[in-house]
Amino acid sequence: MAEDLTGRDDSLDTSLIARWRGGDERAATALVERHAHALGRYIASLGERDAADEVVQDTFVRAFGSLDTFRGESSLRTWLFTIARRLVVDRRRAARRRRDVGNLDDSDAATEYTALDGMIAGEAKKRVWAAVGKLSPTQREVFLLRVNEGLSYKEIADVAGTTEGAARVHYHNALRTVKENLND
Amino acid sequence: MTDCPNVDLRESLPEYLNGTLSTARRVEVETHLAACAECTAELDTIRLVREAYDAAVRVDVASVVAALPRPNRVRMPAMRSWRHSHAFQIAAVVSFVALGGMSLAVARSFFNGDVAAGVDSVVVAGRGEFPMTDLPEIGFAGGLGDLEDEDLESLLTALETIEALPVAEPSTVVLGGTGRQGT
Repeated sequence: MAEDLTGRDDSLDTSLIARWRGGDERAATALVERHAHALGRYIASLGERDAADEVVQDTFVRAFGSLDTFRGESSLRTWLFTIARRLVVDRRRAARRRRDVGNLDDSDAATEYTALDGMIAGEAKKRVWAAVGKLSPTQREVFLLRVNEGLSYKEIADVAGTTEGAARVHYHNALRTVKENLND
Repeated sequence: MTDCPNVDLRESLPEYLNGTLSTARRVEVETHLAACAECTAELDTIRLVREAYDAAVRVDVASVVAALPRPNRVRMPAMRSWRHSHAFQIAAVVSFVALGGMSLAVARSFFNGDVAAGVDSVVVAGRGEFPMTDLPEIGFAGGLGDLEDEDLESLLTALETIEALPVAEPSTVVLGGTGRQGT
């Protein structure tokens, strides 16, 4: 069984945040190590793989700049995902203004995923990316938050701005579609 | 391939891969997986997706950490000049009024008391002689909260014009009748 225990211990996050507030800069490194890769995966799932590094950095800079406003009502990871999502939306808006085109939400993501097909080594992984790339943006986001990060439907609803019920439906529809696409 | 009808167990597969299930629940899932081809296939799909995304994204942790603000920079707001802070201004006015009041009280008790019973007038060097009967009544009605900002500013301005050190020569006090002089 492949276990990924990084980043799912909320009490450890709370302790690291307290240490960082107390001036321990090593706690910042530990926090980044715990969540950076999950954030990168999530940002890639939103169709911003090429900018994942940059968005991850911006997310942490923004989060650490306002850690005092973090109440711990959600997990730190969920909060980071929410910030990252907002940054991706802002980037899309800025790109849309620059290019003066219509809504990029769907078309841009599809283009990104098509381009990614050629960048990922391994036939099986290519097929997975292609299968996931055929999902609608909302389905893909919900599906990957559940599969890659193990977020609950409540957490997914908080991050993606939807409801638990809708998240559950999106997940199961996406899973069915991916299985069908992989079996084609 | 059809889906397993055990929806509750299927819902646990992502958490199973993430290692966030309780021991009892994990054993339950593994027992089910051993007998369910549909759930095993679904778990393989989920694992494949995770591996594909894990391999596709790498983040440079060191560069992220290097860009973070330092802890003490986050919560330390830019400090105003201490001389221009409201706390300092109010403390300065309170001190000024309190010291002034104490001086007046001491002066009045001196002039009205036994020690000064024989004092007819006060002579301030270079400023002439002032009869004791003409001492003005000085009072301060209300609190500092009643003062406008302009009043506070003018008080502070007056405060800043006061010499911090005493003048070289003390004023002369002429004591009536005895011809004594004191400070």
